[in-house]
This record gives sequence, structure tokens and C-alpha cells, in this order.
Amino acid sequence: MAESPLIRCRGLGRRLRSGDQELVVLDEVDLDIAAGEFVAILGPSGSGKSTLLGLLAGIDRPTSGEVHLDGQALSELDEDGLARLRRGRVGFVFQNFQLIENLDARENVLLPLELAGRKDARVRADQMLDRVGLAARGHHYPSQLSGGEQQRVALARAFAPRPALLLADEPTGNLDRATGAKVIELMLELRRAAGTTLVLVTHDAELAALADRRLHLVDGRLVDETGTRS
Amino acid sequence: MRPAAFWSLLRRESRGQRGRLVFLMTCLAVGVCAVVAVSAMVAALRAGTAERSRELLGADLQVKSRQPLPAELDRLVADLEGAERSDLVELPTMVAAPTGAARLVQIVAVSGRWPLFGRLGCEPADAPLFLGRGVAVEAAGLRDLGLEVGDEILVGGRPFPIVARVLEAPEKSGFAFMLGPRIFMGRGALDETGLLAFGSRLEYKALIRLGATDASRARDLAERWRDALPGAEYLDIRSHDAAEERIARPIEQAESYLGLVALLSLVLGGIGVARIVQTWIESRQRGIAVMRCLGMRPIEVALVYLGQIMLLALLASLVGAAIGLCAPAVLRVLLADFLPGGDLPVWQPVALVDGLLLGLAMALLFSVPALAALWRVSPARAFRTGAEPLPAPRFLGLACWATVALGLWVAAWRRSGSGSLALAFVFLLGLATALLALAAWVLRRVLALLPRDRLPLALRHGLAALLRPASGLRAALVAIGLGSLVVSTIFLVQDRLAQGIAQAIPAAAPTAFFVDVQPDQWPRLRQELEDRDAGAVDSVPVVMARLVAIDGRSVREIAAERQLRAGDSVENRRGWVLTREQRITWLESFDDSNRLVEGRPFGADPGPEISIERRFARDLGVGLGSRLRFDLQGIPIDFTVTSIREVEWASFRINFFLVAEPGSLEGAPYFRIATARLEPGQEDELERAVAADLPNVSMIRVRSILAKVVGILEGLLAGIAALGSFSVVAGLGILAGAVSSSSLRRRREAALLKVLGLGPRGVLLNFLVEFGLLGLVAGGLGALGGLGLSLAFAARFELEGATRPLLLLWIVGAVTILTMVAGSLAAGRSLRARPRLALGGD
Repeated sequence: MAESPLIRCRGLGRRLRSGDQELVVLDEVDLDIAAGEFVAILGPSGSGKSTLLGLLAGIDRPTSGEVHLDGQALSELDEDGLARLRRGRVGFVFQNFQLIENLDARENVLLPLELAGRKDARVRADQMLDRVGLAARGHHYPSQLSGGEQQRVALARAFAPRPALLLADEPTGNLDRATGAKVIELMLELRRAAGTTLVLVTHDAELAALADRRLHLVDGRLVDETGTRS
Repeated sequence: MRPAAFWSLLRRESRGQRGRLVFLMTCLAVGVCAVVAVSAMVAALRAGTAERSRELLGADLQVKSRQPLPAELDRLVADLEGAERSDLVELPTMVAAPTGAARLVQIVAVSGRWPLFGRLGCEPADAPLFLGRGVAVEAAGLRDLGLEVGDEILVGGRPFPIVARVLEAPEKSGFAFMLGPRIFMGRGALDETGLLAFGSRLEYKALIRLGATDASRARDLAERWRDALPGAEYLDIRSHDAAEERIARPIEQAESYLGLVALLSLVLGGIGVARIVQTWIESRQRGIAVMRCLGMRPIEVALVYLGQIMLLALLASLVGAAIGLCAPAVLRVLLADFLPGGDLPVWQPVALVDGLLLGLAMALLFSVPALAALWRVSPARAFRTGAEPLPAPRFLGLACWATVALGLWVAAWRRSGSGSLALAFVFLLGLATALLALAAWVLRRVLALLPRDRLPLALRHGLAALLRPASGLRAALVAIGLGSLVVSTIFLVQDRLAQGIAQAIPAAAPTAFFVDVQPDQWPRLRQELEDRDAGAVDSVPVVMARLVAIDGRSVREIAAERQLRAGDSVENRRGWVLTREQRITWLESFDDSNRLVEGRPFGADPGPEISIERRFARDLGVGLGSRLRFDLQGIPIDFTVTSIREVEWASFRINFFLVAEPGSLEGAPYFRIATARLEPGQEDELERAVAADLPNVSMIRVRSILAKVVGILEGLLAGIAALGSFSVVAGLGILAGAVSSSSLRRRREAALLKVLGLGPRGVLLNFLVEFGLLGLVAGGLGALGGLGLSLAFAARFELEGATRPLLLLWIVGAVTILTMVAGSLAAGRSLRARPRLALGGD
């Protein structure tokens, strides 16, 4: 019997209201992602890539269809249940880093570990900061770090609780090419070490080429690299 | 979430918010300070009276009469094991210095050990008191007469050596001090003054200190003695605990009303908390979204914020309470003359805990509705700024506001002790808030319609800032408006009370009263008055009598029946009205300060007739045709009530509750009361002459008594006004919080204006106009509300004088200026914004 996928989406749709008009962001998306897989999602701006990412983690609600994460139907969970599901099991890396401004780098990394109730939270946070090369910058606040450094802290935060799933939303979008490359290299290295499933949203075909599978969002519909609907 | 994680998050979340949180604390601290100040004052007064109830009465039991005390009292006291007794004879009289300076004093002649309770503080401490002819005079008396220890003082026209200056003595209570300082002497010395010959104003007091076995039975003994002593209706028998109860009532009322005024400041502080928490959460939306992405539940995020708010509230409440605890010391200064001796205890732990709990409760109540917004923050905001907010649980908003209303009611009920008053408070507060919010909304609409194009730049910008959507100033406008409403109300009521006092002595009214003028002394006194061209000279005879029965029923029986319904102070008072010593005069006809409202003038009834003042008749429970029996020093005499009068007491003429038909009191012993209008300089001179020639006559100077009343009243009103001004300060705190929370936007705007060529002065002017307009609108709306409330108050309590709405201009002006200053100070950082901020740098 085939192993059940970590993520399973069926008939997933998301519509947004814009004034009097209804905008179809995602339409009838079916998608399976296996545990440990690295999937890249490509598409032009506004094609619904980030929305899809949000729906996969249950931080946004679909207008139709269903997402199963690790066998759990997300529609069956309320906000508290979704929060508990994400806790320590889903990591995020955002385009604009999204570090919490009033926490220093170390505290940002500590946060998901504390939420997951990890007793070794402090040790693990220090290890992760060391792992991303920022052991000496733990007491710096986000505003005192460069973009690349902030994204490395974000990587440390995302991987610290050893999540089963990492969702990365254009992680190099706000970085110069060289810095971006280093960040990607680090992210993939950490992923390989932890065996994390990675869903990466990107514009960058070169970066997407590193993925096990590439999917394209066109007009809210998902097509695989062969051009057929997935 | 584990507690350790919770605490570290709680600690971290305050970072970068210190300015905002300082305003949150200020709002609460001001309110808690007001609440604790009132609680501490009331607790101090209560503790003062409870601890000193024996000292105030001078005894466990006191028996007082205008006649010598019955011999049976000696037997009753002798039956009490370990009881101690001292006897006082007191009378008001004029005394003089050898230089001629004179004044009215209260003579206290002592037999036995005195005082039984409290302390008699003298200078020198070892002076031989109550021996021989030596007298001890209260310090104020010596000062007024220009005398020192060792000098002589003329009492009853005869010289007595002053052996001591009295610095502190018990039994100084109520308004007795207004008549004059006390002079203490031995009973033998009083005999030598010659004043006893007149005797009509003597008061005999027996003070009893109970032995250990009876100490807790004072009230029971008083009851029993009322039955056991002959002629008890002529006696005033009091126990120290009953005296304490009499004082407790006005303290309770003060607690109730002042407590609500103070609570209002705290409620405004609560509104400030709500507003600050709201903007705090708005500014943290992105961070909250990230926390939600990382797996924090809304309730956990809310608890982190709530925990922090409660910590700050605790700190703010501690600061506010510490300041508020100083209130008894301030009260001591304000009411130095009025309060019984000794210090008020400052340390009031109950008031402190009460204030802390109330501060925390208000912070909780008012932050919860703002925290409800956390449930609406979508984690999707971490991806998209424009992510739609999540639907909040339906019950949350309604439940929050219902909790606020209920919590306020409970707090108001705790303050006032009255559920209905608390309900009225919450309702009126809600109504005032709603009306102010509505007025602000309407005004906003109206101002938006005004063509601004031709206005000067600063005014245009100020108006635009006020009209900007979500400017965050609506809450400030409501809060400052409420503060202005409170202060306006207090100010207008205070003004009317002051007018009432100023008008208390009509132009033609007498300025001096002469009491205890013996019939043969009146021609002499009249001559003295005529020699000084005194106006409004008048004199009437007075007979002292006891009411014995009404329509054949003994007043003791009626009073006892009323006592059973006690608890209601009005009923108690009516009981006392029955048994006290009554003053009756006789008159042919009434002057224009009396108006017959029922019945007819004297002469139509065959028997003796009597006319009664309307309210007094109500208190006695009598009407036209009622038959009253009086005891005139042993002789019974019956009267029929044939008319009811209304008396204009404010005329300051001699008026009586009871006026008998001429001839009906013939043969009864009487003295005269006289009045006259004199210039202030002549009063001093006349006082000297009266003290020298008519020493038993008491001259009461209305001007000086009024000055003392005005002094006390002004002190009290100043205290209430100070309490009310707390609400304005709380309102300004809210404004400062609102301004501070929009600091980033203001800085960017200021930077942009500077880039466009506006100097720092121009930016400041913009702010001044914006906050000035806000203050003007809030102050104006509050003042209008205050006008309405003060008119309602004046109508309810029938205040003298006229409401002068123009005075409100001062309040509106002051509120406007304070708002300008507070707003501009809070926006200080924006004023210093550098132009490069507009380009994205800082």
C-alpha cells in the first residue's frame, strides 16, 4: 500500500472580494506532497502562490475544497486546533523575514521552541544560531541586522523545532543575488539534515530547478512542469 | 504554553512600547489616586471617630440638662461598679481683658476629675487647674483678647487669674467651636463670677466613665436610665457609641458621593487603558500574525498582553494609591478647625487594598474589549498585509461590554453602598459617553462640510487632523469631554453655593444677636444700640419650655415609637424634635418674613393659641387643631394649633418655630433675644461695653461665624474640585496616549512638511491648532453637559443664587490650553522629526 502523502489537497479554491467583484485566486487545485519531498511552486506575481502556501498551513481558510495535513482535515479544526497543529510541526520562511521586532535574534529562535514546550529550548536556539553562523549576534534586534542576517535568523527559527513541513515564501525575494544564494544553500542544507518536507514558492527558475518537483500556478490553476493539471 | 515561556513572552512584549505603557500607567494611577484618596479620608475619619467616640463625648455616658441634674442620678451611678463621674456646668458668656477687648466664650466649670477620656494639654503642664479662682483659657481665646498666662481676665465683670493656656482638650465637636473658645475653671470659681444668678443658658452635664464590667453596656444603660430617671424628657442621655453613629451618617454620605466622583476618574483611566491597548495591538498586528503562524492560540496571545497590562496596572495602582494615602494629611490641613483633636491616621491598609483591587479590576474590564481584537488577527497577515481579519466569536463583543457595564455597576455599588445610585451612575455615564460620542460624530460631519480652502494653513491642517479617519482622537475627545463635564458641574455648583453664602446676610439684616438678655437689661442694651446708630434693632421675649403631650399622648411615648423605626435619620431627628427644650415667644402679629399657609391669625379661638412653622409641624407630626401641652418649669399649659407658617429664615430676623398668642404665657420666666445691624468697627466697641456692663449677655457676631462657615465650606469645595480635576487629568492622559500611539505617522507627516519647507514653528503651530480645536470642542461639549447637570442639581437641592454660564468660558479656556499643552508635549518627538525620515531613513 502506498504511503499517504504529508499534504493532500482536493478541489482547493480561494476567492477574494475586491469591491463588488469576486476574484478567483485559486481554482480547483488538487495536490499531493509526500513526506520529505521538495516541491517548488512557480508563477507570476498575483498568481496565488502565497495564498496556496497559507492554505496548506491552515493560516488561511479555503472557500472550497479541503486540505489534509498529515492525515488531518484542516477544515475540521478551529483556530485553536490549527494553532496546535502548526506548533513545532510547520516552519515558515517569509519573503520579508517577519522577525518579531521587539524580540532579539535569539528570542525569535526561542519562540517556537517555547511554544512547543521544549525543555532544551535555550540550548537548541543557541545551536541553531551557531548553525546559521550568527552565534555572536543573538542579542541583536532585527533592526540591527542586515537583510541576509535576518533571513538566516528566520531559517534558524523555522528549523529549530525540527518541523515536518517547511513553507518558504520567496525567501530570497528581498535579498541581493549573492546573499540570496547563500541563504538558499543554508536552507537546503538544513532541510537535508532534518529530512524536512519543503514547499518553496519562488519566481526564480534556477532555484526551482533544485526541487524534486516543480509546479506552476497559472490563473489560479496548478499545472506541473509538463503543462498538464496536477 | 508553559508558564516559563509565558513569562518570557510577557516580558519581551513590552519592548519598544515603554512610552505608550507609561501613559497607560498614568491613566490608571490618576484614577486610583483619586479613589484611594477618598477611601483613605473616609477610613481615617471613621477610625478617628471610632477611636475617639469616648473622647468626643468626654464619657461612656453623658447626661445633660438645662436644669440641675436629678438626685436619682447619684444613686444610679453609685450602683455601677467602678464607675467614675465628673460634673460640668457650661454656659456661653462674654469675657473681657483689662484692656477692654471682649469676646464670647464658653465657660466650662468642672467638679471632680476631668477629663475622664482624652487629654487636657496645658501650658505650663503642671498648672493648678480647677482650683481656687484660677482659670485656663484655650489658646485662641488668649490670642483674641491679647492675654497671656499670668494676666487677669474679666468674667462676669470680675477679675480671675489665668493659670494656663489650653492647647488640647476633649469634647470639642461639631460647630460648638464657632461660638467661641472655652474657659475652664473650678465649680467654686463659677459661683464667684455671679453669672449663675441669670441661669437661663446654663447647661449641666454629668460625665460617667464606666467600670470594666459595664464598659460595653453604655447604650443599654442609657436606655434604662431614660426609663428610670424622673423627668427624663428634660434630660439628654447619650452613650458614646450612639454619638459615633451620628457622626457616621455624614461620613457615609461623603463616601458615597465623593467615591463616585473619584470612581469617574478611574473609569476615565479605564477608557484610556482601552484606547492604549487598542492602538498597542494595532501596532503589533504583524508580530501577532507571526506568533499565530508559529502556533500560538489567540487566547495565549491575549494572555500575554493581559498579563502585561495587569502587571502595569498593579504598578500604576501602587503609585496612585501611595499618593492617595496622603489625602488624610491634606484633609487635616483643610479642616483643621473642624476636626476633633489629634492626627488622622494616614496608614489605611484597607483603602490601599481597595484601590489596588479597583485599579486592577478597571484595567481588566477595559482592556478585555480591546483584547478581543486579537481573535480577529489572521495569521495570513504574515503573508499579505491586506489579509482579511478573522471573524471574531459572536458573543465576544457583546459579552465584553456587558461585563464592563456590570463591573462598573459593582464598583459604583461598592463605592456608594446603594444599588440604585450605582445604576444611575452607570446609566448617566453611559448616556454622557454616548452623547459626547454622538456630538463628536455630528461635529465631525459638520466640520467636514466647511470649505477649508480659504482658511490659514495651520487652521486647515488642524481641522484636517481632527477630521482624519481613525485619528484615534475620538476616545480622547469623549474622555476630556467627560472630565470637563465633571469640573464644570462642580464649578457651577460651587459658584452657586458661594453666591448663597454671599447673599446669606441681606443688606438690611442684623449682624449681631444678643442672647440671654434679662428683661431689666433690655432698656440698657437698647440704649447702647441706639447710641451707636444701630439698624434693624429688634427684641422679643423667649420662654423655655418642654413639650409634654400632643393631643393627650405623651411625647415620650411618641418618641419611643419613633425610635423603634430608627435607622432612618429623619425619624431620629423627629424624635429629638419632640423631647428637646423648646423656645417659645409671643407676638401680636407677624412681620413679612412669616407667611400664614394654613389657619388664621390669633384671636378667634377662646383658649390659648399657638402658631407653628410648617416644617417643624411636620416633624412634630401636628396640624391645625392639634392640642399641645407644654411644661413651663413645672406648670402645664395647653395650646391649640391655629395656624401654620412658612418662615423665610434667610432674612436673618428673629423667628421662632413656636409663636404663642400674647397673654398666654403671662407670668412665665423669660429672657429676651435682641438683634441689631452694626458696622464692623462698632461691633468691637459694643462687644467691650456688653462684656463690661451686661456680662451675662452673649453677643453673637454673625459675620465672624459666617466667615468660619465659609472657610470650612470653601475648604471642602476646594477638595471636591481637586477631586473632580483628576478626571480632566485622566482625560489629558488619554489624549497623550492617543497622540503617542500615532507618533510614527505624526513624525512622518512632520518630516514631510519640513521637506516641503515648513519650519519647526509651523509644525508646532499645526499641532497647537489641532489640539486646541480638540480641547475647545471637548471642553465646550463637557461644559454644556455640566451646565445641564448643575441646573438639575441646583433645582434638586434648592440652591440659592443664579447659575452663571459665562463662568464656563474659563473652564473651556483652561481645558483648551491644557489640551494644547498636553497634546503638544506628547507629540514632542514628532516635532523633532528630521526631514530625511520622509525619504525612508531616520
